[in-house]
Amino acid sequence: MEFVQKLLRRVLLAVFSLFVIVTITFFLMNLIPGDPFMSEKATPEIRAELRAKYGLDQPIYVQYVRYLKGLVHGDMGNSYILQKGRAIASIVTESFAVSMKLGIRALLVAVFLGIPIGCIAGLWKGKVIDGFVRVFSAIGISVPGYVIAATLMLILSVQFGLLPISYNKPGGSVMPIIVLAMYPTCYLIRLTRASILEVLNQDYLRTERSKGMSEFIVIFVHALKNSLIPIVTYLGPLTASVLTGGFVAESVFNVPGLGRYFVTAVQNRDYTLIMGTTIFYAALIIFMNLVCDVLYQIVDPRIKIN
Amino acid sequence: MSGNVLLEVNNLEVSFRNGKVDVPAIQGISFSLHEGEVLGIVGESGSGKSVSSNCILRLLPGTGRITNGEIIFEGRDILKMSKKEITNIRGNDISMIFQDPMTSLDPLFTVGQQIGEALKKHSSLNSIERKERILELLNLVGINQPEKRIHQYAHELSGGMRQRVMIAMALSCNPKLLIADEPTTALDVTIQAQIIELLKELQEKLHMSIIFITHDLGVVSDICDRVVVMYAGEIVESGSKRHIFYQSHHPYTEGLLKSIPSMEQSRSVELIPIEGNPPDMQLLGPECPFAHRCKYAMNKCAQEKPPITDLGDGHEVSCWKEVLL
Repeated sequence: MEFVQKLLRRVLLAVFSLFVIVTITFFLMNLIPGDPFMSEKATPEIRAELRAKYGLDQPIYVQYVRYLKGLVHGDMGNSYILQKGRAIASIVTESFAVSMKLGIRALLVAVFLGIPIGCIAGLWKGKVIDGFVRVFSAIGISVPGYVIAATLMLILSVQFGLLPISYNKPGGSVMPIIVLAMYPTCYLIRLTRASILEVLNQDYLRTERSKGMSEFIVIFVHALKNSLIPIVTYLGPLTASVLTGGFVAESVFNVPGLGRYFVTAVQNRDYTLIMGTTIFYAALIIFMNLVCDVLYQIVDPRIKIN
Repeated sequence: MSGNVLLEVNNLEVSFRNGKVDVPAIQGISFSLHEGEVLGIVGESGSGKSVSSNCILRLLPGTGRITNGEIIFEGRDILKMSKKEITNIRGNDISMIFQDPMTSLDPLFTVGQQIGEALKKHSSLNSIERKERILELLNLVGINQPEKRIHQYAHELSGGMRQRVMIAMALSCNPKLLIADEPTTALDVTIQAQIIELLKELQEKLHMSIIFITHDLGVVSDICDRVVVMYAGEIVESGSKRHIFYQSHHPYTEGLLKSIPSMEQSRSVELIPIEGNPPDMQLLGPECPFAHRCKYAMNKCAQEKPPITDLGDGHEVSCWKEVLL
């Protein structure tokens, strides 16, 4: 019962955070020079008319209140530019479905490569394999996504013609997945390695050994479970960011996902779409953090939500 | 009191790798333990008392290596056993409790799960019998409300209670030997006394042997039958409790005894510390390692290590004073 109460409080807090994010984004967005219709080839009169039609000629606080009202009623408005007249909610759900399809695969790659490789590096600390993993993961973390994307394209598509550049062709999702998974995989490797190294020195593992537990149980039950705690913390935000699609991966490979809309919406000052994608992204991050906190409690009995 | 010999340590040598040099930690110690006997190992930090006890279960940390010697337990050399054989002995025939109960329990498993693990490995009890046994053990070590405690985690228990859980865990498979590595050092004084009392009771009830490692001679006088005094990785004196407390021959033992505060002494009597520091184990020479701190030191002491002198009745000391004077 207490748990439900606390959870409820967290949800309320999340709604408040979302409100703050909406507010900040709304005003920041209006600070960007230009408006949705600046690129229309039209006379100034027609542009002014367009602005009036969408209510953009009114004072900013009026627009803000009107937007909030719509939002409370579940109406995020329609797109101004990119898919003129289409409801934001439908654009977001459609593009999120695309991003999620890529994202889930990238996430699985990151988790199922990152954690085991990190474990191996930690357990064989100082050995050749550890050195190799450390160098590789350092590179993976520090090289920006667009460099990885461009390099992959050059090598795999242009040079050897193994994979198509375009997302729509068969096999087209392989490279975006690699680019999406690269950073989280390498980050997970380093996180797991550091975490397991710290746990390996703990007294309770000596206790386990003194009870006659096999090295397998000591490492894979006790050490691993303890070292998973910091990893769970990272998995929440990671899931949110990977699921919504990398801005870079989707832009470079022309994937019609949420990440690409995020970027092009800003470029085109498609106000309602900027708001829509931001709200969705923020809500997802907040939700994943909430899931994480609950997961946390399952893994670590010392932690209680408060 | 003393039956057959249960454990015999012969000429044990241990060193730790530090960069590219091997630093000796134990330099050829020998002692034995009888069934039902409580042996105290005392010494300063770094004297090798914990290292020597960890060797018995082959639980040396990190870079530690046993370079020589044998550890005979019930007629078999532990150092020659396979991994499987040693894990069958750990927690079953020989078990261990540690210095810091705050960190010695896994924070993510309940008390019941952690005690149950050892039972599952070493006994053929089914899960219902295991639970009964765990409750019985928790009762035995004086934990109230065992039905509730069995489902609790380490962070929900006090320090004293955690050490009791550690003891329950160690006793779960009726070990013949319990190694207690400074089990009271991290606890406050009243809890210390309770834990010592508990170990004493349990020893009498279960008739097991205990190796009790401590730097507190007061604790030794309370619980031990025999005492081994270690200094710089060697045994400098060993004998019965009476030998050590009333007829000590080694200047180091004497120094240790003089530095214990006593309830009877008036406050004006000052404690006498042992001057100086233990030697750097990397720089040990051929001399007696205690010579530079010893008020009886002679020329001989700076040249050669003293041999072991048997004073009879199981009392042994290694000091030139006994040989030359």
